[in-house]
Amino acid sequence: MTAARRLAALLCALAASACAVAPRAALPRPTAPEPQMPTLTSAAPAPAPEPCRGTTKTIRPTGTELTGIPSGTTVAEIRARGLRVGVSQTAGRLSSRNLQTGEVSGLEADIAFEIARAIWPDRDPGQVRAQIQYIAMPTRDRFIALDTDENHRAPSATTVATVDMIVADASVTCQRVDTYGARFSVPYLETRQGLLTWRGTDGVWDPRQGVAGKRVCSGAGTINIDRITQRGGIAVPAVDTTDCLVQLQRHQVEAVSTDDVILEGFHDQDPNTEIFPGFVDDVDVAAVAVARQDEDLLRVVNAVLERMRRGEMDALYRKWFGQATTRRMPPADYEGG
Amino acid sequence: MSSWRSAVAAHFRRTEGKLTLVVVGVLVCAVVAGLTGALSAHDRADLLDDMAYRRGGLNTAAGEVYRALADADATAFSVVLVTGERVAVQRQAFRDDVVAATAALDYAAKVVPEVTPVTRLNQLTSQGFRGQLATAALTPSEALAVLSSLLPIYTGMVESGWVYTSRVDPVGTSYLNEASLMVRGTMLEIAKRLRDAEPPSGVNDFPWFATTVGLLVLAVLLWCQRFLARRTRRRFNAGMVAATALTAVAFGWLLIASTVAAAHATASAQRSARLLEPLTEVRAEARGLDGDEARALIFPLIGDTVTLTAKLDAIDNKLNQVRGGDLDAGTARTLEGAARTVTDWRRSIERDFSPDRPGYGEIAADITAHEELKETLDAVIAQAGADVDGSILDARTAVSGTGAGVVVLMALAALAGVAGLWPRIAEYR
Repeated sequence: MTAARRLAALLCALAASACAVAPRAALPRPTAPEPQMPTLTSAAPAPAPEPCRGTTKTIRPTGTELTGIPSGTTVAEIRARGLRVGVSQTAGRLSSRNLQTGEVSGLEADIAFEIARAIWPDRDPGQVRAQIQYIAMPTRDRFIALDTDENHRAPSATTVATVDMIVADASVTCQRVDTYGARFSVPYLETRQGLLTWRGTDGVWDPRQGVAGKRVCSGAGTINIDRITQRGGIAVPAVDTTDCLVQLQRHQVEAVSTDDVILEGFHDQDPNTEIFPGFVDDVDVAAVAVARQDEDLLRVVNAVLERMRRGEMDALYRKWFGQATTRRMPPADYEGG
Repeated sequence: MSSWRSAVAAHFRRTEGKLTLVVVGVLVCAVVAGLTGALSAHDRADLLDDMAYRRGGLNTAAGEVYRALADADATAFSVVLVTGERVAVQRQAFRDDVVAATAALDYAAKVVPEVTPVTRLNQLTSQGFRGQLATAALTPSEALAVLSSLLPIYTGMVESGWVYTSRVDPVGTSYLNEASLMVRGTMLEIAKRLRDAEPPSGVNDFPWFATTVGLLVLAVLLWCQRFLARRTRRRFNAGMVAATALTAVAFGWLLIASTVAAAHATASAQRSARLLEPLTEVRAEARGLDGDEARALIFPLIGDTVTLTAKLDAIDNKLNQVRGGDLDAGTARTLEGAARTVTDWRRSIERDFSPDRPGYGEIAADITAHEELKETLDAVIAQAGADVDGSILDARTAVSGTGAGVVVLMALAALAGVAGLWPRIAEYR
């Protein structure tokens, strides 16, 4: 049958080619495709009901000086197997990893080291550094890595709770306490949400006048993203806040809005950007987060931070934010006042 | 008018006239049989040409794009883990792979001349469509156009990632992650689905139409001889016997050639499906795992060990499936070696990502060093690819010349028939 069809097709083709000449296909000039951010598939847990059931207050340490080997079940366990710290790893001045050496550096890495020194006061500081294992925490997923009842009930089955503490510019919010069963330490950093955009926006818009109608990127599951929406901006959530800088550089968003310390890190990496502070009036405080039940660990962390309040933290601020920094360690909010 | 008609009718009532009709019949039969046989052979040759050159070319190019992108993805990460001159060497390897992918896309474009309209291309690569792009039904020309437009964006992101990471700027990790997401989530999937090893429909079919026509022509020739034997009282007419024999030879040839070609084409498709495709995927997935290990070291996430082990399990299963098939001794031995490499790999993942793991530098060296699986599989894949192409060429060779042969044989059959009948007609003049 194919032979017969072929004969017919041949005749048709001959007839058609005799009277019609197809034009040459037009030369395409497509636009450049945009890269795609990691998708937000495993949705963040639903916001906790208002008002807050848990507490954002922290526990007073037993002493401000660490003299002996700390006690408690969690600390003993950590001493046996090493300290697992969740860090952002992509936030310039807070924590970033040198990929060739594997070394993590930044204010938060220094704080993690001080905490590790308190857990192993009997060891040489060089050995203590080897006891820390840093785990990268994409902004959205930071809190699901804590070993809490709330996280075990969460639907994301692939997520294995593995870190002892999170030192990743985590703002103290009640929602995080209620949703993830987190407990916060003494705050180690005061931040204010700012806006970062290109240095010179062609006069099309003035970032000081607000972000209404503008595409603004921020980390998914953060308080920053809600504030963008509240101010009329089109919030673009990113799994990791640093993806926002890629988005800005690729002209996929018009601005990034997150904590000023992170924006400073972005500006370090791309001098073609400018920071516009004062996006919001609220001040956020960042603290170390641990699982609710690990009170012994929290006491050690608070003891370390209270000790650092007496000068060491200021030195670290100058080391990471410049000599002229005016940052001061925020006051602690202890249970029972 | 009526006298002319009755004269013609009278002529054909005589034996002389009837023999003239037989000659015409033999000639018509020869023309129909020759044309049918030639078209049937030509049809199959066309399908095999399509398989060997168009699809074959496209499949080869798709395989190369798939390989090159998988290698590029693995190298993009391992570049940041090596030091010294190896950085330059690895970066060059990445660029070689990108250029290889570009060359393969260019090669594929030679066999797929259709141009995708710009509106369609922009729609396919738009941000809104990106989630569905990897699974969307694309024509080969659309797939090639999409890959061609994503490739420079991908390359730019990787190069940006390297520059930032070498300055210890953390945004470099984001660039590398997003680039990897693009190549794995979209580009590799499109390249994988661009392969189409299914033989074109009809290439394996039995030539029913040509066979039927051949049998009918033989029947007509045999009937003519019976008629001749009765009228001329000679048992055989040498010319007609020769014409019948030549027709039988022509269609016998066509039948055998078609059957042999179909067998080769089927063998090619089966070899492709059982060996070439799964091993190409195993190789790419192994390269993906290389990249995952590097990523797990530079950007350790929760649940990494579980993810890495699951991916190795998938590779192991696919490899074992291929090994369970019908293999020649050499291939079986090589794949046994590949399976041993997978076992070693499992051990090194367990060691490198356990709580008491070695130092960062040691793991980095371990991750960037092992490429045994790639090298083992490359040899088998190259052989399987050559075998697949070889079978298609064998199929094409089987039918080459068949069309012309059938035409010549049928022309000879017509001559023989006329030569055999002409003296009988002359006897009545």
